Amino acid sequence: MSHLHIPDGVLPLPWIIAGLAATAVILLLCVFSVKRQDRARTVPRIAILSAVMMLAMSLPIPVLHYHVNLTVLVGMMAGPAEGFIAGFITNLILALTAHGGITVIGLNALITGLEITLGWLLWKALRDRGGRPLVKSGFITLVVLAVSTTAMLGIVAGTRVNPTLAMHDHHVHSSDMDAHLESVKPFATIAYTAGAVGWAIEAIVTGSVVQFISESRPDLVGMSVAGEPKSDGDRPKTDSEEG
Amino acid sequence: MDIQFIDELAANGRTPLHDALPGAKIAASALLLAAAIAASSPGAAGFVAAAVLLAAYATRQPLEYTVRMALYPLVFAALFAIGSVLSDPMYALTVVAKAFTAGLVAATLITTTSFVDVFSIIARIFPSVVADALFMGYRAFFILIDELQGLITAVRLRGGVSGTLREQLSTYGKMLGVLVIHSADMTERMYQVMQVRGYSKLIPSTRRHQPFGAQDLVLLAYSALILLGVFLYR
Repeated sequence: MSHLHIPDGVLPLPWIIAGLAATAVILLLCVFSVKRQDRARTVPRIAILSAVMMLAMSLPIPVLHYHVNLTVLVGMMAGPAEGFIAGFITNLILALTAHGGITVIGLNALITGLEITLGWLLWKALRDRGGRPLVKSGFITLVVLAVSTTAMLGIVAGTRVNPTLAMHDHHVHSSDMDAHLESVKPFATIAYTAGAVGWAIEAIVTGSVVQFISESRPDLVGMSVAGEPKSDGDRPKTDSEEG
Repeated sequence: MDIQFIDELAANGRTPLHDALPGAKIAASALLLAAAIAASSPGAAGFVAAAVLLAAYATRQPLEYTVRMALYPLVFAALFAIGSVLSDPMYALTVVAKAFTAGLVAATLITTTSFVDVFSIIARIFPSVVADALFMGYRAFFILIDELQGLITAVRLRGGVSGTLREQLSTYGKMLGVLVIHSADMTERMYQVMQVRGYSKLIPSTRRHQPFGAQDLVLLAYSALILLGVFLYR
């Protein structure tokens, strides 16, 4: 229940435009923030991360028919800027395969970006504290997905209340609003119940991935390698630093 | 969603729609998508869906697969429409019909036009970092999926998929972990290759601009007529 999965033709035009505009601005900010890095290193890293996300999203887990997203893992590995670009690319390719609407790419990218950023922030806060990476990253995944599902429901609830009417039509009655919100309840019930199962699956898988990586290549998730100084996983090196 | 199979259909198909220029197909898809979105009744959305199916049938597309692809967004549209089924069943039906139609448009485009051709056009509006990562990411996907399939086979042969659901998910996670580590190595290799080849902040496209031919114009006119029809009778 990470990306919206809402198809084309469902959301009102102002929301679609707002989503695309916000995504365009954030994407430009992200591109600007990675501008000073060595591009020959940044581009393959973003490409590979988006390929990994695409791979995870394209392979349903047998029996459960649920696919993981690995957005939290991408946040832990790449940080918000590179992660947002990778998430945007993944959403773009998925939309072309009818996996989420083409016009909803903006909103999808915002939700994915929220997961990536929250994953990065929480991992940064908990990374060096005690406890197994499996538990820490699993917990982070649960929290992040709960927040992103709520954000998604917020968008769905918001779009049911026609923004034009809400802002300009003073004759909109509170009972109309209540009816709109009432109609969102069944969707919210399904999203939270089915979503909770999905969060648990994603948490176990992400936790296992992070545990495995932390034992083999801890530098990839910004953890220190035994006997070596801790790598600065949060900030990719600039050209001059690498030179 | 089987990206490998979609790529196979798009790259190796020999139909009039495959022969049309990617630019024309993208423009026609945009018009049909606009028609699907503009439809305000199940009938109007159904009209666009029928028009897309007719074009696909006339050009000998594998309808079974494209329809199956278009059914995926239907599930989520149904979730979205469920709140309105009792209060406004027509709205609920319209939502579902529009989702199916839009899915059908996307499925028809991507099974007749290779991702690379689509990227080469839409990437023009993106900053070069995003455009280059888009091409490389798509290529990397196929390398990684081959690797993952080999890994899954190896794990299955060693009985690694047995056990409780929790254990199976953990094994799946470890397989992805192996893949992530391999992908980090792959990033390093790509970096070295780009350094050797002299990457100059842009991967140039070798696609040449071609003027629209008769079949491209027919496709565009057909799509524009559908959009006009929806605006007149929606």
